[in-house]
Amino acid sequence: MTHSLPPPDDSPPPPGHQPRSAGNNHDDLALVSFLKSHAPPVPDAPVELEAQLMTAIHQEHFTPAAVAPGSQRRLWIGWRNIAFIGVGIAVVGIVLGQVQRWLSPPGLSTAQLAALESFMVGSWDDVLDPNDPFSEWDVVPAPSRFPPLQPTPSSFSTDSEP
Amino acid sequence: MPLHNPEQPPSDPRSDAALIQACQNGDREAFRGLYRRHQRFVRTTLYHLCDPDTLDDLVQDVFLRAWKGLGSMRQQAQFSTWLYRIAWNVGADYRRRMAKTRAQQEQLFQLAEIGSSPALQELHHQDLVQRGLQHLTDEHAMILILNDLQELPQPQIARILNIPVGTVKSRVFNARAQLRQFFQQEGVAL
Repeated sequence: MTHSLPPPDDSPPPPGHQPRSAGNNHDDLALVSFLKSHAPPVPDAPVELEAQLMTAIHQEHFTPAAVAPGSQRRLWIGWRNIAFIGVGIAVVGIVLGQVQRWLSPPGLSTAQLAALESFMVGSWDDVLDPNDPFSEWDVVPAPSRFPPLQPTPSSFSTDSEP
Repeated sequence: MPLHNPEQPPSDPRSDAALIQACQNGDREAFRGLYRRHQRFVRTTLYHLCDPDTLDDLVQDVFLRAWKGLGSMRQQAQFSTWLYRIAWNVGADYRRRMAKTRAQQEQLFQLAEIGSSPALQELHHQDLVQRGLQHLTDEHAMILILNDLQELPQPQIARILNIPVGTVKSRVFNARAQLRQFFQQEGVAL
């Protein structure tokens, strides 16, 4: 037992509409006929169901009109996307900063910087005054442009042989 | 004992699009017209697809979801297709939740003795049809309900399920084959 329903507004069945089983083979016809004949009858909707539904709808704070024009909804979605993008950029920046801090070598302490500075100043002073007896630097004389040739042992023996 | 409608309540003469427009303009009572116009189809589909004991809750769930989604509707002329798709989603969700207990129910049904009187025989056949639809996958059960029981045009079925028309035809073929095999296992040759 089936219930004939009014056709939906958006797709009325064409004139002369036949069930899809009409053009199929005998087995399908028998199966569909059995289905239709023995489909359990659907109980009618209780009267209170409609009342409950309408009560629930009246109690809903949401109304379709609040989002129906579409502009406010799209505007909200736009602002929400912008907020998500901003938060995402901030999170990525913070993460990259932390990674950079972890990967970079640790900085020198104040005492180490002072020792380094005093070493650099002392070294520079020694360079400016090479005659300082306390200097830790020895001045090496500049080599001549063409140093004298030294005879190799093989050439020496060859020349002295005759 | 719930009271039942002795007759179909009078339907609102306005079109679906006009009722939706009224709802979007704040007329909540306009939704009553949409409910009265489409509740029978939704109810029949969910009855065959799901457990009859939870039918009222599922129907109410479908229409509440429809109410909440009215604001996002773009094509008001497609309301019935959209509503039936909600019914399909609600029914499929319910079937997935109840998949574990279904096997236990089938065993209980099979243990019941079948009498020889015509009334009991008819009850047995109705039980067979109901169990046969429960035996099918969600997609196959829904396709037989829409195509063979509700007799919707296949293009509309394709829009409801969001599949090509060719897939509708192939699913109908496979669903009928599986249902026929189930009936044969139950001793009914078709």
